[in-house]
Amino acid sequence: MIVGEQKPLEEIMALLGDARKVLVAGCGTCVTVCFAGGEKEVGILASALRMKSKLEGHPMEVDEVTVQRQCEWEYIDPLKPRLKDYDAVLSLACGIGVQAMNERFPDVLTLPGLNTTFLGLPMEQGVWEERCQACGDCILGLTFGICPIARCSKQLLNGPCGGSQNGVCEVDPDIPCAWQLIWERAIAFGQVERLLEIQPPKNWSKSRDGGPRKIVREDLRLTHTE
Amino acid sequence: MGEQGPFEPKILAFCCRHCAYAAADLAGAMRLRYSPSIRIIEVPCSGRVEVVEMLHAFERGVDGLMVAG
Amino acid sequence: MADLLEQIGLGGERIQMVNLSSAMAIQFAEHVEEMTKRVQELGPNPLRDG
Ligand code: SF4
Ligand code: SF4
Repeated sequence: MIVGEQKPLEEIMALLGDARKVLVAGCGTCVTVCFAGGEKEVGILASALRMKSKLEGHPMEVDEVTVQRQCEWEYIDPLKPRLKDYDAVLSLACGIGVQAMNERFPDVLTLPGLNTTFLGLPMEQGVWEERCQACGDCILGLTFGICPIARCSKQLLNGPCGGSQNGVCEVDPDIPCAWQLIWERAIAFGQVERLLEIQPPKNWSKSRDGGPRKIVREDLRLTHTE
Repeated sequence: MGEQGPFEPKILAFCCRHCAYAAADLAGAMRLRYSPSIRIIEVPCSGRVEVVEMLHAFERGVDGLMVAG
Repeated sequence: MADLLEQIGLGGERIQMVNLSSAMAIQFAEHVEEMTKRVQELGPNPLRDG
């Protein structure tokens, strides 16, 4: 899932500037699960904004709404009639949700209340770790299900590097060496020879090198363009 | 309301039914004297109290808040 | 929570978590007294009135 983290209150206040009527808009999917931008966090932030703005002498009216998914038109379209009442929307969805709002409702500025951090996994209550960088050409099949693009600090395709010490990455002792993990799994499966093959440079054209990416599935489209 | 004399704070206390509320009850039975500034709300468990509820209390003007379990 | 109150500008000392058993009536009264004194020093919640 997409993992995000709320921006500091000061920064959010600065983003909102002179706005007097604000709608705080949460998202009921990824950011709810990571306790950053669901209904609960919307309630807390809205209350905090009302109090802080009042204490600073320019009270804001702050309303709250949470939609199931801010990254789909069908979930955000029902917000349309309400939006004309607001000077700004503060979205607690990920960057996709914020952009969906701006694209769909160009007359009102939707601002980000979160930093969208990574694609990852909740490890335990309160701990999330990055797992994927959406590189567009998945190599997990070569690396025994452990991603060196997201989890090796150097994104090596042939690892580990010389800095791997006792299973730990030289960049930070809190980072387990992804390549150590890959090798351990290869050994467990009795397939180390698969790692001895040198991997050629990765095809990054499917990643960000070609500019923004897009998927078009003609088999799913309702209107075909020949 | 303009404050006259010493300021009499309003303090809200969320008290767990089984521990702190019972302690408050006992304090009453023992005729212990404590400040009348406290307003007690009994909750089934202090873990039940949500952050947003505490914030709403401050928004409505309480001066202090105790969560006792 | 105290940190959030600090960020809002109300002051983190306005909140207090305490752990008591049902037999701790004296401690309860003490906590109330202590909290009252602390809040009196901090002054009223600036959001009171209006
Ligand atoms: S807007 Fe972002 S956080 Fe919400 S469902 Fe879509 S991807 Fe997940
Ligand atoms: S190889 Fe690419 S797509 Fe696969 S997990 Fe790693 S970053 Fe994600």
